[in-house]
Amino acid sequence: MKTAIARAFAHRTVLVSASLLAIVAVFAFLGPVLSPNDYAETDFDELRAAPTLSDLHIFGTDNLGRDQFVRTMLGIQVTLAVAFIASFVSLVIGVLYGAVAGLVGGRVDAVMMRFVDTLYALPFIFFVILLMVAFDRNFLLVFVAIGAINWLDMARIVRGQTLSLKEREFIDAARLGGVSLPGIIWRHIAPNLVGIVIVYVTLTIPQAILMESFLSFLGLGIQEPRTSLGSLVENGVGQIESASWLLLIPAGLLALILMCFNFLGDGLRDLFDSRSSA
Amino acid sequence: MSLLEVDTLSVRYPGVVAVDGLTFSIDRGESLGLVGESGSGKTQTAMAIMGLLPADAEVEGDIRVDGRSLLSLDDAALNRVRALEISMVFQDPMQALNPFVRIGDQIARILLEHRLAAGDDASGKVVDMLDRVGLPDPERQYRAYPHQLSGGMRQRAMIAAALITDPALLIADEPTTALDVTVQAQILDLLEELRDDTALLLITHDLGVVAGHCERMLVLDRGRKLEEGPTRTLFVSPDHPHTRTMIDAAPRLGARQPPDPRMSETILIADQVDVIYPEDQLQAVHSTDLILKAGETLALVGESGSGKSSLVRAILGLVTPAAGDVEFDGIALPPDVRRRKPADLKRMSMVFQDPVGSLNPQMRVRDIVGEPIGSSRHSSVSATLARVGLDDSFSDRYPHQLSGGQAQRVAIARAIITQPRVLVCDEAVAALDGTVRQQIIDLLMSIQRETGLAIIFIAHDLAIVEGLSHRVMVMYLGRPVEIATARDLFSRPGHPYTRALVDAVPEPDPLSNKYSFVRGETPSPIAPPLGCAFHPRCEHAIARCRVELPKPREVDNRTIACHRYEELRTEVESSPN
Repeated sequence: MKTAIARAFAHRTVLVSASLLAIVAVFAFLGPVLSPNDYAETDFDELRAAPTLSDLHIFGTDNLGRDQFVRTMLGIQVTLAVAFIASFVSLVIGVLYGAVAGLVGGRVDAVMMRFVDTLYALPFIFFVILLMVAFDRNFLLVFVAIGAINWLDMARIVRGQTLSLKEREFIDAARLGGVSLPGIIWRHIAPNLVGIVIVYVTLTIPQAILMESFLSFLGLGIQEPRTSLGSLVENGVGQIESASWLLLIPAGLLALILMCFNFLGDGLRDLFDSRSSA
Repeated sequence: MSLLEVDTLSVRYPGVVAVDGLTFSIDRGESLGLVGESGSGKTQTAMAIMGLLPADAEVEGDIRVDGRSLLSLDDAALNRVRALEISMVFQDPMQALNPFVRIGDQIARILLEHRLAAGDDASGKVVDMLDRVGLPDPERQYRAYPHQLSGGMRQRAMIAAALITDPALLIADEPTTALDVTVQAQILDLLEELRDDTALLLITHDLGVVAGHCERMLVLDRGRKLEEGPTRTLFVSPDHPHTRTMIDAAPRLGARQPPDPRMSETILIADQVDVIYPEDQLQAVHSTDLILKAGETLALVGESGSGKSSLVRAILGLVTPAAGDVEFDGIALPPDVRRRKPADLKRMSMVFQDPVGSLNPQMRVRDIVGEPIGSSRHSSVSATLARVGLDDSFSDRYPHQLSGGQAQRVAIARAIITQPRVLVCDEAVAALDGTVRQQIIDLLMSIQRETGLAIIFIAHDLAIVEGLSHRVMVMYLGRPVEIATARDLFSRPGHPYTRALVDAVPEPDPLSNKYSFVRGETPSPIAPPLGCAFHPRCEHAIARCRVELPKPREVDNRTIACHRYEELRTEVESSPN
C-alpha cells in the first residue's frame, strides 16, 4: 500500500523536476536571443574572462574569447535536441518492433529478438567511430547512433509487456467479442503500454544525454564552432587551473538536467504504479 | 489469565480503518475461528498479533501473550515470542517458503536460531516432524526444494515449520484457500490432529471450515466485532442479522434442490476434443465429448489439472484443439476464434474468474460493455447494465473504481449484450465473498429464466453447483469420469472421485462430523498414471484399474468411466448407511 506521504512526494518530485527542466529549457532557447553576444564571435581582449556583467559575459568567456553564456545555452539546446530526437527514434522503432514481436509471437518473435541480441553484441564505441570516420563527422549521425542503440532496450521492454498483456483475460474477452487484431492492439494493448513507455522514455533521455556528452567529450560528437554540454565540459577540463568556471558551470548544468530527468522518470513511475494498483 | 488477549486493538492506515477497537481472547488449547468477508480486517488482526504490519500502519490498543504486552517489545524479544510462543501458517505456502533453501534446512534453522537443538539432533527432529505432518519419505523430502513439492505437501511442510517449536498458539490465515478441495480436507484434519494443546486462531472466510474445526467463533465486519460465542450457538441462533446472512450464504450440500433436467434440443456439441500444450509437454484434455442443451446449466466440476478450463477454451476457440470438432446447431465451427464469423461469436460468450483482471483497466464501463456490439452509446448498453443491477452512474467508471461484485456484473453485462445462447462461466464466482457470490448466482439464474440462455458453469466447489445445475460433468486429469443429471449425481455419486469431491465439501454445520476423505493429490498432467488416472487415490482400485483405462459407459441414466461401478453401486446400496 502506498502511503499518502510517498504519493505526495512523488507528485512533488515530478513537479519540481519538471519545472526546473522547463526553466532550463526556456533559458536555453531565449538566452542566446536576448544576449548581445554571439556563440562563434571571438573577443581577443577578453580571453578566459571570469563571469562579469560587463558586455554581459555572465558566465565569462572561454579560451578563444567567446561568450560562455551563449555557448552554454546553445550547448543545452543541442544536448536537449539530441536527447529528445534520439529518444523519439528509439520510442518509435522500439515500440513498433517490440509490440509486433510480442503480439505475433512464435518464430517471428524468435527471429526478431535474436536480431536485437545481435545488435546488442556490437561494440558501440567502435561502431560510432566507424560511422564518424566513414561519414565525415556528420552531425545527424550522433542522433542516429544513439537512437540505434537505445531502441533495443525499448523493444525488449515493450515485447515483454505485450507478452504479459496478451495473456490477460480482457484480451480473451475482446477476442470472443469479435474485436479484430488492429482493434485489440489499438484499444487493449496500446493504452496499457502507455504508462511504461512514458516512464521508460523519461529514463532513456538522460541515457542519451550522457551518451552524447561522452561522444562529444571524446571529440566524436558535435563539431566546432557548434557545441554541446559534453564539448563544453571537455573544453573546460583543459582550462581547469586557469578558468575553473569553464568546467563547473556546464558540468553543473549537465548534472542538474540529468538529475531532473531521472527524478521525473522515477516520479512518473510511482504515479503510474499507484494508479494501476489503486 | 488467557493465553492471548487482544484489547481494543485498532489498526489504521492513512484514510482507512482496518481494525476498529477489537477485543477478544484465546485460552490455552482453545480453537477460535476469526470469520469475515474480504476487507473485514481478519488478516490485519493476525498481522498485528505477529508484529508484521507495514511501517505506515498505526496500531492502538494492546496485545498480550501470557500477560506480556507484545507491542512494547523490541525486535529481538518479539522474534523469540514469534518463534517459541506464536507460529503462523500462511495462505500460500509457495510465497511463505524460501524457494532457494531446502525444506528441511528451513525448518531446522528455526531450531538452530533459538538454540532448541543443535546439528544432527535438529535434523532428526525435523525429519520426525515432517513424518508427523504426513510427508511421505521424510528423509528425502528434507532435502527437497519447495517447488519440488505439490501444493498440499508444501502446506504440510509449512505446518511442520509452524509446529516444530511446540508453540502455545498457532495462527492459520486461510490455510487451505489456495488448495484443491480434496486436499483442503486433509490439511484441516492434520491441523486438528497435530495441535494437541496448542491454541488455534483460524482465520477464514469459509464458514464450513469454522464449523468443523473451531470451538468458538468471532465474526468480523469492516474491522469491528459483530459477535462472538461458541460455534454451535452462533450457528443456531446468531444475534446479528449479518451473521445469519453469512451462514445462509455459505455453500452447503443439500441446501438447494437441483432444478429438473431440461428436455430441449442440443445446441452445442464438442466431439472427441484433445487439447495439447506442446510447450508444457502436456495433454490437458483427452478425447472428451460435451453436449449442451438449450436453456440448461451444465456444471463442469474438477480440481486443478482436470482440464475443465482447457475444454471450454477449446470450445470457444481460444485454444486450438489438437483434435476434435465443435458444432453449434449442427454446423461445425472453425477451431480458431479468429476464423469464426461475427454471427457465430455473438452466440457464445464468457465470464472469467478474476472480475477485475477480465476488464481492461484503461476502459470505462460503458466502452467495455459496448465493445461486443461495436458501440458504447447504444441504448442497449444502459439497458444491459440495468439488467445486471448497475445504474447509469456506473457507465463512466473505470474498473479499479468497482468492487469485485460490481466488476463481475460488468463482465456479465459484456457477455450478455449480444444476446448469446451459450454463456461460459469459468469459476465466475470463486473469487467473490459468500453473500456477493449468491447475488451473482441469482443474477445468472434469473437471466437464464428470462432468455433461455444455456450456461456452462465451471466450478471446483460442488456445494455451489448443486442448486443451480441441471446436469453435472465431473472431470479428472483431462477426462470426464461421470456425467449425470444433478439430481442423480448428488443423490448417488457414482464415481469414487465424485464421492471424494462430495465428501470434501466442508459443511457449515458444527454438529455434522462427516470426515472421510480421499488421500493424496491430483498427479501432474505431464505424467498421468497408467490405467484409470484416479487409481492411485482410489480405495476401490483393483489390478484392472492400474492397467486398463475405463471407457465412459452409459449405465443407470449416467455416463461413467469406472470399471467397478456396478459392484460398488450394490456395495453402497447394501451398506446400512
